[in-house]
Amino acid sequence: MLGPDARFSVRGEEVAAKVFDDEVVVVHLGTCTYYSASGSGADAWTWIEEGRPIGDVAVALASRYGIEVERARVDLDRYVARLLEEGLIAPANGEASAAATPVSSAGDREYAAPELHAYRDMADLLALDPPLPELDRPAWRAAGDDGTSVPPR
Amino acid sequence: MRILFIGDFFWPLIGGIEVWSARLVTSMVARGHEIRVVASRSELQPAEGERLDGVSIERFDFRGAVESRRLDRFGEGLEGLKRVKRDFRPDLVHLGTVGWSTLFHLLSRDAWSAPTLLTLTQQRLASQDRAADTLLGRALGAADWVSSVSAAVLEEAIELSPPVAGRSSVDYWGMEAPPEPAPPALDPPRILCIGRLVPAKGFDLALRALPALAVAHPALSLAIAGAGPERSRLESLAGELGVAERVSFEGWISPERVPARMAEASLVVLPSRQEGLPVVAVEAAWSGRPIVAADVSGMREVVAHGLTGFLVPAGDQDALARSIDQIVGDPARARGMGREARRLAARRFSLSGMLDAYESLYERLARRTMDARA
Repeated sequence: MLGPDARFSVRGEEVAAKVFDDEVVVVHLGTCTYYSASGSGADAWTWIEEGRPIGDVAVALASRYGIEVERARVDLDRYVARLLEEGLIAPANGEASAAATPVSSAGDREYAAPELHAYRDMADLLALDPPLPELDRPAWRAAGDDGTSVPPR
Repeated sequence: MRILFIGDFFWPLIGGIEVWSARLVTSMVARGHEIRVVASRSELQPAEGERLDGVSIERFDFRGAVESRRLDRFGEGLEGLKRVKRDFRPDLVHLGTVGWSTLFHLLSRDAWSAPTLLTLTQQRLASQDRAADTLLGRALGAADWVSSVSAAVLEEAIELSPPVAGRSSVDYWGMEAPPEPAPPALDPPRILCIGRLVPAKGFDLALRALPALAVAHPALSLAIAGAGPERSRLESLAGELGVAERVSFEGWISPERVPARMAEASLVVLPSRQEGLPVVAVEAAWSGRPIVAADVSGMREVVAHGLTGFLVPAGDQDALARSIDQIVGDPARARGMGREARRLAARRFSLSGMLDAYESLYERLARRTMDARA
């Protein structure tokens, strides 16, 4: 288990991340692998990115989702191990960011263990049949004299 | 029924998936369904607010956001898709392909709860050697039903994600029967290739097959219809092979003209290195033309070897030449293959059959959700 004071930082030169509502989207710029995490995973990412110690992140998760701190720690350790394995974060030194996000303690949000989804095939999908860049007229419309744009049936 | 159709590219771009998508959604509108399309923005997109036969289309820069790796560009697509889902309140979401738009769908699933139908149109990629940690794997896992345009493509998906076997079907491309074509004429022999000029289509192999064929059939010609980044390379190759005078590059032709263009050909050749189930092969069958095609993925579902044409090993230009020679050298056989191809098309690739199948899936999936909500 990680020590409660362990902190991490996002590997900023290689990794970009952005939170959209309840979801964080992460991209490894070198491999074009995309990742996403929602709910507790997005929360944990945000707090880890702020440089909070793991012990604090676990307490915050427990408070927000109304679960035992121990359970949050176990799930969080697994999550952090995955983030490290993917090269998205690295151990950090120094003080936490001053602008830490306040944690609501409603405790009524449905809990699911933080989970990182990876999408390793995005680069290959982008390389599939490209669209036709050489078309110089709107396709399908050109065939009709009346300007209608109806696909063949 | 309200159906949200999400795809990567859409009309007016041309490609098998784009032609099929437009045909499906406009036909479903004609059957009384309300359809909204969300697709990736492209340079060829129509003017703001333009509709296709009663279908409203919204476009976001899904591809650009993913390709640029700039997450600040994700917001427009993600928020836009969420807004469409909340405003339109679809009874069902139909994913027309697995691509960058699928990522945005998965990320916006919480915006509106509706069953998801996923259509598989292409072969699995080498990078998708396991379901975990891929967009395809997640899309397969999240779909309430998986419809594949080919049995071979579906087999690959089940191999990747076995639970798909219990919630999937093969629903072939369909198109309205073109007018009964004249039998293929072979004097002179005219070979036709149609498709995007990209390496996967293997048109270079068709060119490489020509020198041997030209010895036995001096009047033989090859027309390549399509546009794409490989054109100059293919033109150079034709010159290097000494066959430039018998090869014409016709550029893009509109989908409406494809049956008429095929009717002018003696046979259609698809030397693809990679395919799902190509629309061009279906069109060739409907046009009553013998087909010589690479034996990849779903090709054998549209080409009955020895009956409607020949299948050859992918990448084998000599086998391609031999099979073309068998057809060109035997007009009676060519005519018979053309007749059988059209019969196969009528059995398997009718527009009404495709629409009935999708309509049935739509209703079944939407009803299941309504029952669950009740």
